[in-house]
Amino acid sequence: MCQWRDVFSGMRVAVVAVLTSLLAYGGVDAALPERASGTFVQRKTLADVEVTITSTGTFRFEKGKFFEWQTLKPLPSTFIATPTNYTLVVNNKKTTRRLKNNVDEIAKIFEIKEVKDFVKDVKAEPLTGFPDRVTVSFKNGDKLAIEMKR
Amino acid sequence: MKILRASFLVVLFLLAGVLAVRLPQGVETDLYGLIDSAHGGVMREMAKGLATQGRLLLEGQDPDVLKERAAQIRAQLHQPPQPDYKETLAFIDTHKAGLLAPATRELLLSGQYAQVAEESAARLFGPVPPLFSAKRDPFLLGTDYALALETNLAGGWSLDAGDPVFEQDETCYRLLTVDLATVPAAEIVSFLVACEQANETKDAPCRIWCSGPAFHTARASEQSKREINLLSGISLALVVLFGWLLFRSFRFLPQLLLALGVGALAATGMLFAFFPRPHVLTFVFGTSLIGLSVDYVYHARAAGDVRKIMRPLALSLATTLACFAPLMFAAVSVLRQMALFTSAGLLAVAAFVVLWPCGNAGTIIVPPCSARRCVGRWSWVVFVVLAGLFVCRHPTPQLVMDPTAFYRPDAYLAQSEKKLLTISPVQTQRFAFVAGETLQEALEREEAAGVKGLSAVIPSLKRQRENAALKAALVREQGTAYTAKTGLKMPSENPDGFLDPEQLPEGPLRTMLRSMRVAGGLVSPYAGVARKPLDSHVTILKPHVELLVLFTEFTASTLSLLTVSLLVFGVLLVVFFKRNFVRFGFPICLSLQSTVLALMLLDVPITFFTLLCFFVLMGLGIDYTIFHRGHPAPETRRVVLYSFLTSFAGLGLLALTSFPVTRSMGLTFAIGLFFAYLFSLGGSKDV
Repeated sequence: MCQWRDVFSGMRVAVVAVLTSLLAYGGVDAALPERASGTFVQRKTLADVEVTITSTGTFRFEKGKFFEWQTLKPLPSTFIATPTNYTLVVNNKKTTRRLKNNVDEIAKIFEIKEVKDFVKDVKAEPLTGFPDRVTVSFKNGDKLAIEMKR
Repeated sequence: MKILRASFLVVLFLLAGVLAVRLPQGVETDLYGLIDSAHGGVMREMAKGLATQGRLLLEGQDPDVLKERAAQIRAQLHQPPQPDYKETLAFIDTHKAGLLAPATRELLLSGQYAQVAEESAARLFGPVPPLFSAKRDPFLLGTDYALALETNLAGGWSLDAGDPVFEQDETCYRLLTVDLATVPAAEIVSFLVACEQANETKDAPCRIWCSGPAFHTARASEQSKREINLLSGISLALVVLFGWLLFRSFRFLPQLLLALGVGALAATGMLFAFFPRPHVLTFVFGTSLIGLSVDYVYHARAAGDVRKIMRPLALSLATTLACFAPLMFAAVSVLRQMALFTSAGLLAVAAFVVLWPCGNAGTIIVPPCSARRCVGRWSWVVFVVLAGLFVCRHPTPQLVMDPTAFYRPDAYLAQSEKKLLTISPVQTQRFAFVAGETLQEALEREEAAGVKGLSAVIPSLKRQRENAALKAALVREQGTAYTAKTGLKMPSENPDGFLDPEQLPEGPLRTMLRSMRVAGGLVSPYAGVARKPLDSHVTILKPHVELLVLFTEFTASTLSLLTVSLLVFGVLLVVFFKRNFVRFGFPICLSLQSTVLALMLLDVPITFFTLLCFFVLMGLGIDYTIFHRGHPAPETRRVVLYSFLTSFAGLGLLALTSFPVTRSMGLTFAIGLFFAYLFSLGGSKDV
């Protein structure tokens, strides 16, 4: 009766994958810090309308505990991923969903089938240490380009 | 005589015709089928809809193991592979013109267009990619709709490859819904046994809990089949043995079988003529007809010339029919069915033995029987002892109406149901039934009554058109500002169609529609607070409570009819036996009272079903008494003894079954028949 939830489950997992990948490509090895925080500039390109939407905000990370992505401008929203669930807050409306997220060994998130269905490619620069730039390409042609400063 | 025989055969032929036409329609089989249309018939429809569904809860530490096991179970239970949700997603994408998340709809209805636009833009500027093309859905209302679907389930549940999954205290759960309509009962039972054994293994990687009517039905029917086969064999052997002991030949068998066949044909034919779809319980109760039929056949055969026993036979038949007559006026359909079935069957058997007498019976050997005389003289002592025990022990009368007393699942299924109840995503035991001749009518009524059923996920077409108008208003009010803020252009017109649930492709939404749609409307779990119907088309039901009310009603009705039967019975005894009526009535009263006392002393709960046995006990009791006290030839008493033994074996063996209803009926019959026979002995003229 509740199988309809599957309709969007893959998309959600993909979001988690995208965000956590920022850290995964920041260095899964010893280079990945226990804690990190900073600011970001995000450029979301929607392929079918040829529009790029730019937003800025802050991020916080604590290894194995949580990852928070807070968009501040032009409109605020917050995304938080923990090992057991994630929360999306838009205009004080909170949506929480239980989902197994790997915020410890982040690279493994790409082993999940649903993510492979949505994400085409992830590139991070530099390849070691915390990344300054991450680009995620989706299969539908959308792109997410993120620059981060700690 | 020839005219009577011909008329009887014509009636039988007509009834056979009725059966040929009506039998293919089948019979009601579940407890909910007992509910008349006067009760709305909703529960019956609901039960029908859910009858073949099963739910399996997989429990373990590793979600991947559960996922793998789920795929194996699907294959094992002949289920189609999980449909790809992307097909449903693609369907929604092209049919989302009138789809809105409930919260967004509320905002738009109250004219808060700016807030909706702001939330849409915030979502757009956030990290979540839109689910559907922003070109056709710039406000991301389709994505918003899909995300809002989640709020219909209990918190904490999510989906993995189409199955609801949940994690609690480091234990993972996965819920599977299966349709077992085409799976043979034997396979289901083998599956249950395997699950039970696997669960008992220490550190089992995946424990499986099975729930739903289909599993209970399969296990109960397989068990019943085994028991009935065994008991029928024993019962048949005993009937043949007792018949042989009585007549010292097997020549009685053809007449007995023919009489039973004629009785069954007449009873079933009449039943189907007046009740197009009778309840199976009528046939269970109808087996008591066998006891009464054997009685008539043995007496007729023993007499040789049936005219010799015409008076006691007629009196016995008349009083027995009088016992059942009040049931014909019961408000409860199943009681009327039982009365009609038994009366028609009895009349047919009696007519058969009179119209086709068997002639020479052979010699009935009557051994000296001083023991019986002694028992007859002192039978009242049994009653005194019982009454004494009753006074000493003060047993509490257990008049049980709770349907849980009628069926006790085995430990594994009971544990499974308990587990499902605590873990299930739908945390309510109440259901809302919304009537509607068409699916759209039911959806519209759900929406009007505020029931969060199917319409919470798939709105009616009427509401979808309203939603489309609200979307158009949003574009008019906020379109320009939104374009300026995001760069997304507004589509010139709504490019998508409306979502007609009848057109849904196979997938999660279609599965949901199938599980909620029943004949005459829609059923959904109801978590609201209202206990009374929200409007005349909505019924709020709690199945367990409904059944409790139903059986309370049945029990009350049966008790009053039993009282009426006793009164009618008493009046008939006065009419037939004048001043001697006490001689014939007293043993019946004693036997019925003793049966009640014995049941109470043995802690056997008295239910609607056991109360029904008392009608049969009255019929058989008066039969034994009339033949013992009115026709005291030694051969007759011997016939009564073997008739009693045959009924005792046939009906009493039900006490050995595992199904509580038949077990308690069997116990009541065994105890009641014993007392009916015992007390009929006392006061015989030659004793």
